[in-house]
Amino acid sequence: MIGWLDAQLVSIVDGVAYGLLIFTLAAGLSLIFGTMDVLNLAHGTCYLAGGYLAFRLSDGGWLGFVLAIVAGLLAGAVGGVLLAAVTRPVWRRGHLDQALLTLGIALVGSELFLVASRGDPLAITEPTVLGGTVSLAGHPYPGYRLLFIVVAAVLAGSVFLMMERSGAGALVRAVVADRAMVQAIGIRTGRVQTAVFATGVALATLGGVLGAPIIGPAPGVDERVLVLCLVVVVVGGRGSIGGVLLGALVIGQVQSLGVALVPRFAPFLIFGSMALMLAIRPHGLVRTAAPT
Amino acid sequence: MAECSRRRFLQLGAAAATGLSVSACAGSSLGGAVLSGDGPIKVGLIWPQSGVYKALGDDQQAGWRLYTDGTAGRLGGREVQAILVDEGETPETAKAAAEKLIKRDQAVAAVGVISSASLLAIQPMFQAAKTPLISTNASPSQVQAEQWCWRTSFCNNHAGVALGGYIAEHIDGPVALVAADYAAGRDYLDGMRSTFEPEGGKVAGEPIMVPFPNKGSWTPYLQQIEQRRPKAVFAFFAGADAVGFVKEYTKFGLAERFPLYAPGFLTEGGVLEAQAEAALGIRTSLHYSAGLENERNSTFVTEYVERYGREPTCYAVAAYDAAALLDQVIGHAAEDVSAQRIETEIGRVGVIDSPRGPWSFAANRSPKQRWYLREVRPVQGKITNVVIEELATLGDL
Repeated sequence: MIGWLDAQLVSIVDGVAYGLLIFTLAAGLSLIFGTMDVLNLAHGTCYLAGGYLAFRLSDGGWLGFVLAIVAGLLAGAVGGVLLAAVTRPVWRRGHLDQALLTLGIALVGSELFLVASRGDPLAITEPTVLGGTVSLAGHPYPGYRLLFIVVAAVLAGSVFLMMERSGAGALVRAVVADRAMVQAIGIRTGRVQTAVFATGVALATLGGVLGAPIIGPAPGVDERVLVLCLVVVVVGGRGSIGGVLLGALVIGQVQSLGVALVPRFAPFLIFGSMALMLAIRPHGLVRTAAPT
Repeated sequence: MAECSRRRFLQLGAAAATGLSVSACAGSSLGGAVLSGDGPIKVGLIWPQSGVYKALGDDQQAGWRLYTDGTAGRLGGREVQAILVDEGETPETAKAAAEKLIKRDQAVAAVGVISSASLLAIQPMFQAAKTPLISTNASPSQVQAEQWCWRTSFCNNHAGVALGGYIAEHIDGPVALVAADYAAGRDYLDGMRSTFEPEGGKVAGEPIMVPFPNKGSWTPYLQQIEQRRPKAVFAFFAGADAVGFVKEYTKFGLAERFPLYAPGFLTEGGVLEAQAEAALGIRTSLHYSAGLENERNSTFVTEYVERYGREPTCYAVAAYDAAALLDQVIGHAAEDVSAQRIETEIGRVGVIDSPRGPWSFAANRSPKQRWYLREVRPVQGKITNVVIEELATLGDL
């Protein structure tokens, strides 16, 4: 057992890093879908935008790194408000219209990226102090990724606490459960929704900045992370942040430990696990009390 | 409501995934006016202007334009109308592009395609239309010595053939093989083994095949390499996979322990910029390097850098040579420039004076050319592929 654990340690730790990275995206996607019933197909593009900012601003020093994080958060918040405003006319027009609109935005985004990047993956410079390789119980492991796990875990914890334990979270959950009732007690649900959109998109761009050394900005990455997010939300259960977190960690392990154990089935593991989940637990890992 | 929106979510998710991948195919095609009679000679250019291969397509366009601008748009003394169409990302988009060139534009020859899948799809079309197709990159091993199909690039497995013997000679111990799991990946591994094993080289376990393109983590594959305890690694990856693999290979400390050998595409052009320091020390085999020392190349590199602000790649050279080839061929055909005549004249062409060094066609209609061993090194603060030695001259398979 110890021997097995030692052999797979790197895969397991790496799976946690991937899981937490997908969580930062999937949490926002799930929040926006939950509160506004809008499926933001431009979510992967927001991640890509964050990665692009990391490429422009992060220069190997702490200052550039912090600058990229701040810029990512700002750009995400502003972008989220804009996306909320742009999608507002179709909020009540059904999912197909929303999907077409956000997909259109995603397509424009990926073309813009293609022009900006000349079609090549972009070189990301992580802070030099963390750029090296450290020893993880005798196995070489990228130092940056260990720090990422800590930061992303704190981030995931804060999102969880904010949603499940704070007044603001209670308000958001109330809007999800019964928008009309919340309006009736005098709260402007539109503002709550815009705030949620901004938070969700900011999480995605922050994920893009922090995750750039792990899943770097390249053509097609927007689609790749969007699909991963959708799978995570399906596996984890759409209703709660806890479910999304659990789903993200499971998918992270499937992608890392799963591929290490059965490499032959690597291309099928992600969607295979989603299909399996739909067959045995169609509501996902965590089932929440169904809002009416 | 929960049940209903869940189903919606799945439907929309599926739609989104399809939509995004289909979108990549919907590139634009630049149309050319249909001219008749004594007008300019129409040559089709098929390169990706969208999708994951765009960067390579751009390099090829750059190479072609550098040559044709040098001759004021004329090839063989005749005015040429180059009709650019989008190869896109899939065989379907390439077919649509080829269809337009054959049916609507009635081009006398076509130049292009990056992807092997595209070439396999359009080669029969050009054969049926009796129009010469000059591949500037794609080189699936299935298409060899077919009429109406030529190549200014290389044979898929040659990069492996050229390197196999060298690795066997210099590495004392087993070598792990890792490659993208598709036709080209297997071609390169087979090529490498065909010269590596007869020279006494030992392969460390089964080859590690990585899904192409790899959308997941690299860690499991790096661990498999470690578990084989090799003395060196031979890897085939290109494009975004090349960047992902090389960066992770270094970050996980493998680069210090197992020297990496590869076909040159692993570190060619834009991917090397993205890999940066992570690529240092990688040794690759290719038929070209911007640092190659010959007079033709130094002029070419100077002009190219001046115009585009980046170093030329093997992709740019292959397109440049296609233009040089047509320049000769159309010159020989003189007044009678037809598809049939071009096909015949390409067969008679002697030596092409290329930046990669002079080459001529082998019997399989691909260049007979020299292959070089290159190492990624910093030169005057810039990371580049430095030619170390000549490996072999390869022609027919």
